[in-house]
Amino acid sequence: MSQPLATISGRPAPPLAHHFESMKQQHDSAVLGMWVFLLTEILLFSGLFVGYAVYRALHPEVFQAASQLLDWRMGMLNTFVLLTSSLTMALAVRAAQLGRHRQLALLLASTLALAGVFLVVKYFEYSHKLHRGIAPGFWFSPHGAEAAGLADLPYARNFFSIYFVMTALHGIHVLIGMAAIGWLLARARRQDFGGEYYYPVECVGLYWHLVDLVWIYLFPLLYLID
Amino acid sequence: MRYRENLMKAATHHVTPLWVYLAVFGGLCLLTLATVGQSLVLGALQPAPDPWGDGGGHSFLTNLSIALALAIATVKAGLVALFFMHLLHGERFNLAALLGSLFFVVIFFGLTLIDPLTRGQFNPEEAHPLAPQMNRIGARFQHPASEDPAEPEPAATELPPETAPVL
Repeated sequence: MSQPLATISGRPAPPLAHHFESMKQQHDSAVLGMWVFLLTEILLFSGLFVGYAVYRALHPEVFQAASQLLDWRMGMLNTFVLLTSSLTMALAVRAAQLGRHRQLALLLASTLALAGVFLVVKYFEYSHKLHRGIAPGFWFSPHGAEAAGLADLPYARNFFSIYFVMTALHGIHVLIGMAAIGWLLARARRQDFGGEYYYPVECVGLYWHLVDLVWIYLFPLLYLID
Repeated sequence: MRYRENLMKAATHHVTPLWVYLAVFGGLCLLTLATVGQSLVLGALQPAPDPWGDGGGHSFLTNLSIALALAIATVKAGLVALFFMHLLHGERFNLAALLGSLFFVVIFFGLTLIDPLTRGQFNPEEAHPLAPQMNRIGARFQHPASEDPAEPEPAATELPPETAPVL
């Protein structure tokens, strides 16, 4: 079985692994494998959302009062930042499909920068809370004019533990996504990707969109309780 | 032979036109504004959150707000999955796998929430086990957004001693 000698921008195309029949089959297998991994991620976050739903169903008033300490403006800003990064990532996959190397590198760099902006906003939100003693679980000791009443609100501790665990796990996913996008950026500068071979870009893109999906649900459920 | 030919064909993939990506992004931004808007409007239509109130649970407007927020978020998630994640024009098997996992997520949520959402249907006191505590602490909790300190509620002092919380 001889494969035509494909080239991408004058460079030899990446080898086809011997256990695949074609580049298309190799691509589809990689993408399916990524999807199966993403399904486990969905189930992981589902566990946290179920915990959220149980506590909110049992203590609705506590969630309403405690979430007033979250700034929905910051949450909305971060939503727009993540949505834009999802757009640049989707356009990066398109640039890889079309073999536009400079555009691909530029779009990957933009995605990376937007992810950085997201984490900076998150840093300001976290430090604002931690300075007032609003910390998860054992460290929960609110003080100061804004937060003092929380100390007497039963289960406010649980709301903020849920808030910190869910947003921190999401933040860890952002960090891992940034590392993966950085790796793609280095390879894009070597012009590794083209129309036949771009599944690494596609798979990292899928991961990045999942990070966006989780935030799409986190934002209204944590920040927009009224 | 058909199968083999299919496998050997060139790796051509559907390339989504640029305008589709931009339109989906515009839709996502509008839906984000919509979810913030519904929260602000429905929040303004009702009194401020009252954790020291009667412990009556979510009001109708709050339940409506939750339903709207989840519906909007699900439409946004669908847009991202179908267009950005290429489920619309990609392999149908990936879509089937996703729907299969969502089926189990629904079972997960449904069977778990049967208990907390039906508390108090037989014994009303179970519905909001915190209500007496909430009444008591209400005098001390000050709403961060409110200008005036919350007035101590007369009801708080009338609580029978056995309902006093151990905080």
